[in-house]
Amino acid sequence: MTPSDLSGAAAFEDAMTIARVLAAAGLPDAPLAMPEQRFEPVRPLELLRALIVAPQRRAEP
Amino acid sequence: MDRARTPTLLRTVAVLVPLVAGGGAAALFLQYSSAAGLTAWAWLCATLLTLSTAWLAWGAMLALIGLWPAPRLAASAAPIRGRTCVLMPVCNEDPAPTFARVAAMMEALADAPAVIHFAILSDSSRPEAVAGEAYWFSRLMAETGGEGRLFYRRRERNTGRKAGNIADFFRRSGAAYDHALILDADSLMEPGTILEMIRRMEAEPRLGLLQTLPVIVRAGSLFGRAMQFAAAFYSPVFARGLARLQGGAGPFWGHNAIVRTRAWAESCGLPELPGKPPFGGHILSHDIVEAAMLARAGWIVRVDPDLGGSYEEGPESLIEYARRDRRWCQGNLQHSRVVTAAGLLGWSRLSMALGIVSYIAPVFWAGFLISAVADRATLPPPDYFPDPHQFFPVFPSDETAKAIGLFIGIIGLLVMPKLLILIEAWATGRARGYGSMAGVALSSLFDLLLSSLIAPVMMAYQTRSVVQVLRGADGGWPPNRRGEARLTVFEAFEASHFIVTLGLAGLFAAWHWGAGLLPWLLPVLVPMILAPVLISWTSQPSRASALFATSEERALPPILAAHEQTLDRWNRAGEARRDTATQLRTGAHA
Repeated sequence: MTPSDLSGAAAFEDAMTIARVLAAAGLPDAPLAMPEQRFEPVRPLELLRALIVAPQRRAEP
Repeated sequence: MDRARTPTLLRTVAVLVPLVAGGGAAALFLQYSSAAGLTAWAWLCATLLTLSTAWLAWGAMLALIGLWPAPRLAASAAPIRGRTCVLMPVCNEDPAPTFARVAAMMEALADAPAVIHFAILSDSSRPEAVAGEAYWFSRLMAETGGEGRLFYRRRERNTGRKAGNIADFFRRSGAAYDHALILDADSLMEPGTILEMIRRMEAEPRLGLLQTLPVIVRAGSLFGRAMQFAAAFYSPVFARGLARLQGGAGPFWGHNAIVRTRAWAESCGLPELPGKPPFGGHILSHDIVEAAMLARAGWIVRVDPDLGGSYEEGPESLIEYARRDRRWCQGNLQHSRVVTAAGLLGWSRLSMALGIVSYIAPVFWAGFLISAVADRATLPPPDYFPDPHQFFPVFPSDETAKAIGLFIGIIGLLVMPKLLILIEAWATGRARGYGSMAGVALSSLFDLLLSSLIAPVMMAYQTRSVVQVLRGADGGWPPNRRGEARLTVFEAFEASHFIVTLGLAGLFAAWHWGAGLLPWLLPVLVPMILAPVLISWTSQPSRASALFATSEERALPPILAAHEQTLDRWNRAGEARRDTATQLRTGAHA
């Protein structure tokens, strides 16, 4: 059911309540940088090396 | 044990065995064909057979590797320090059942010893969906008293689709949380599972993503219930096989997984690929790429199949399945633009390549069948007197035994994993959750029959998808249709008449040019010709019974029961409210 199913004063009151709830429910403001990654194609020799030699995993982030 | 250790030997065996199986199948086929003379078509057949058999053998290997049960990790009771946000991205979904899932999980986690918030991330654009979300969100907020821990955000433009929706959350609010649990609109997770996932993330600081194995629930059609049974019964073994091979480069299936916000933000900013869709533009199947990017940055990506309590819903008809598959097909073929990216781990590349092969494999099978008929049609008549002076005819050697051996081998690759899993379920007692042993065996048998009937129809849909993508047609991202799936034969015919036409054409070609092949081709051609009947029949409602019963169907998990109760309550309240509104409009209350 949506607010359009209601009529008159009840509908108006509902719409106001919904608007208040939505306005108060915005996401926390805590930005985090998310840099765009790149997908440059690997050079064939590098690919061969990557397939044979497993890269070192990070020790501790 | 270091769970991120690379299992080099196991991986080598898992890759080599399918290659050897493919080579063996090709050798048998060439011996069989050589009796009548090797044509270019026969060589093409052998090549396609190598690839197809290797693909089947890869699946069988995963099952074999996963056959031995893994000890379930002891649930930790360590205190949870970090903050977690449960993300539910929605896009033009039915808001009441979707938001009722959030209500059920919030209620279940009310006393959890952890800070867990919920965020509904809407990309909806249809006015009725947007209005419905606003209404049901206010209802959800009122019921849960979720101020400060329940959020709703709607984007006007759904840039980057689901991946963009999630990225938008991280860019706005990621720093407020240590972990984010990514769900789908139809996901449900038990509170114990969520807490255990957070604890595992905190216990292993190198872990960037932890994936669960979602179980399909609430199927109501024959197709849906067969899929639900197959996913619940067989998938744990395949997932265990995958987990034993994953090292630190496991899979991400897009939902029912927890990520470390810092790892995600620093590694998973997806670029737009140059060019137009289907190969350029936003990355459609972003999950596999995100898993590869996390692993590239040195984070561990892991699937833990021992984590239960993770649920999703599946398509209810073959048409819905094919629609979703069309999107996944385009997404996986698009990975051909990413698979060569610098820095990716070898296993991530292999996973992407296998994803591509999974969609091309049906094309290989279709190509093999067409080539086999073409080979027979272009074969010169046998020459019984190659030497003009010979007195007795020379008959070609009979290599039928090799063809039968090859056929049995391929069927074995299809059946053997399921048979072994049935034995495993019986031996470990896992089968008890599915009912009696006879019921489970019957379900497995019917699953085998049904999947054999459906396979040629899916082969046709997938081949069409691949051809469409290669021709540059963008399938877009149609919203999921959940729930009612019943189709009439006419409706099914509208969506499958090309398959019927192909089946009839194949029947004519096989009868006219390759009569000897007809018995071999009938199991493929008959389901294609009867596709509308098959699609309609499998879309009909199927009541819960011993056939295709799952443990979740027999004993409803608590979180599903909580969701049903919430939804029932909401629906009753909605009906009462609708009645009041009608009375107000008509003045009947006065």
